[in-house]
This record gives sequence, C-alpha cells and structure tokens, in this order.
Amino acid sequence: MVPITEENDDARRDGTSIEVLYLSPVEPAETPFGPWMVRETVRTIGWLRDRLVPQPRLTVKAVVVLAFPQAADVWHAAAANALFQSLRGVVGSLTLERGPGLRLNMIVADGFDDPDVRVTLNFLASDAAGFIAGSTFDLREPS
Amino acid sequence: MSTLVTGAGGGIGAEIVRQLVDSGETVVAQDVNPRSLAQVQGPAVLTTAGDLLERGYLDGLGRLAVGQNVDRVIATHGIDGSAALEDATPDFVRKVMEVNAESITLLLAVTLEGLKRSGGTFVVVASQAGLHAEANNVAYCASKFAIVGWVMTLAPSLEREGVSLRAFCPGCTETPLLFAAQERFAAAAGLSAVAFIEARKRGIPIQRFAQVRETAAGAIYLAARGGRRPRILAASGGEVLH
Repeated sequence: MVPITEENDDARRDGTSIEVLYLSPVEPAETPFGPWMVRETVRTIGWLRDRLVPQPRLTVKAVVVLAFPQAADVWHAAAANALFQSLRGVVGSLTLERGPGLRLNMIVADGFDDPDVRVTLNFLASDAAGFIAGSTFDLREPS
Repeated sequence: MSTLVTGAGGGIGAEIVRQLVDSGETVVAQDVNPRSLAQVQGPAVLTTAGDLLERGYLDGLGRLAVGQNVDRVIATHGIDGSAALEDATPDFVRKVMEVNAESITLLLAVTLEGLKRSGGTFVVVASQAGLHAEANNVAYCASKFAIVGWVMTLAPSLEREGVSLRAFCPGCTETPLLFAAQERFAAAAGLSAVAFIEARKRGIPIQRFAQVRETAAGAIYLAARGGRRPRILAASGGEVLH
C-alpha cells in the first residue's frame, strides 16, 4: 500500500507518497459563490504553489479531493459547480504548465467517507497510474 | 429597451457598444475606468463608471438598469490573469477570481428582476480558457472555468423564469489584454513574443487570431432576445472544440 500523506517531504522526495488536499466547503452561506468558489480556489492554488515552487526539480504526485457541497437551492448548486469547474481549470492548467514534474488529479465525491475515494487515492498513488495526469474522477454518479 | 455592457471601455466591450449603436440600439456602457468610456460616448449611450465589486455602486447600477429598461446584459469586463504558478500569489488569484467570476454573479443578482420582467438575456463573455486549460494561466483558467460552470448549472432554472443566461467563449482576440498575456506566456516559455504569437497562430486551425469585430458580433448574436441560441458558444478558430 502506498502511503498517502498531506505533509511528508521525505516521501515526496523519494516519490513514494501522494499529497492530498481535502476540500469540504459545507458551511451555509447566503451568497455562496465567494465563500465557496473564490476562497477554496485561492486556497487550492496556494497549497499547490507552496508544494511545487520551492522544489521545482522534484516530481510531485498530488490529488485534490472535493466533497461536493450540498446545494440548498439552484444558486448554491451553481456556486458548487463553479468551484468544481474552477478546480478542473486549476488541475488542467498546472498539468500543462509543470509537465513531468507534476502528476496532479482531482476526485469529486459526495463525501470523504466514500470507500471509493480511498480506493481511487490508492490507485493514483501507485505506479499503475503513472500515465494519469490532469484527470477528474467524478465518483458522485453510479457508473 | 436597452443593453447594459460592462467593460465597455475595453476592446471587445467598446466594439459591442459600437455595433449595437450602429444597429439602432441604446446602450448603458459601464467601465471601472471613466476615461476609457470617452471612446463610446454618443447620443444613444449612457455611460457609468465604477467598481462592480463595490456594493454601493453595484446596487446603483442595478437601479440604473431598471430605469433604462435594460433587457440585455453583456458582461465583458475582466482582467488579465496570466501568470506562472510562481507568480500566482494569493492576493493576485483572489483578485482574478473576484473580478472575472464573482462580480458577474453579483451583476446578475442586481439586474435579475428587471430581466425577468422583460424576458431578457444575460451573456457572460468568458473565454476559451473556460473550456480548455492553458499553461501559465492558472488563475485565469480557474476563473473562466468557474463562470462557465456557473452558467451551465444556473441557466436551466432561469430559463423557466424567462431569462436566458449564456456564456460566450472567444478564443484569441486581437486586444491589448491578449497581447499582454501572450508576452507573459512567451517569457515563461523562453521565447520572443513575436515567435510565441506566430507559433500560437499556427496552432489554431484558422491560423489567425480573431478580430475584435468578430468577437463582438458573436457576443451580440448570443444576446438575442426571443431566439434560440446555444447556452455555451466557443468562437476559437477551431482551437477549442465545444
């Protein structure tokens, strides 16, 4: 089993771990677009910047896991999808920008407790997923 | 009836105003920079300058839209968000997200009641970078992906209330904002701006950038009231297919 860690420089250095950012924007907000989309996107780009910029020669495996916010109405649903799509933009842009030094993917699920989230993280951490970069794993719908 | 155009002091916004006026329409032209609006002033144009992220100004703009019987909104405002990850500081990213995405949601909120009464349309001029990611452009892509996703989710609900919400995703359009971004992309790639731009054009099936008049015309087409139009329209010279 490949270790999954959020903060482990040694493991990152030897390429045996995957770093995971968990996003769960669940607090109620009357106007959710700012608190959900803006704040969580700023947080995500900052998290990736902190990990990639200081050590540009390392290969980093990272996953952003979004627990898709529960929508009270269509305005919340639109803000939630805006966040989801924004993160897709982040993952895609940085995959193109950083090249082989980054293997970044994204998981979206109804919650972190979903066992398929753990299965997918383990898969992404393995060598078998070495050619998967910039992808979105949408685990919300049955397939 | 009239059209509210935001970012009207810039390349695409100003051209939209000109084309609307040429076709006999009246326009409310908004920009954050009051001096930039001089180029669109005329008898059929009411200009207003202010920051869409300032609550007081935004509320006033909503009242102005009602008073002017605005039945179409074309949101063209935005800022250049190109930067490599190294330069994408939290303050920079936040500003790009607020201007290019959140302000549009706030603009819809203050114009929505009027649009419901008139059966109007609200068009977001986004970007092909909202459909297809680009390197050295993480904040901009995030903001444009966000606003396209917002439109896709919200539009069906608003249509049931008589309001058409659409997103226009133009590709490279010959504006100062585009060339500034290309210069940054070129620097990040270690190329001259001229060489980078020529290579970029070769990657577009049509092998050129869009002229401002073409992109403006696409936005106006999408803003039509009473006709069927695509919810998301890419005009990218074939570079991004949607």
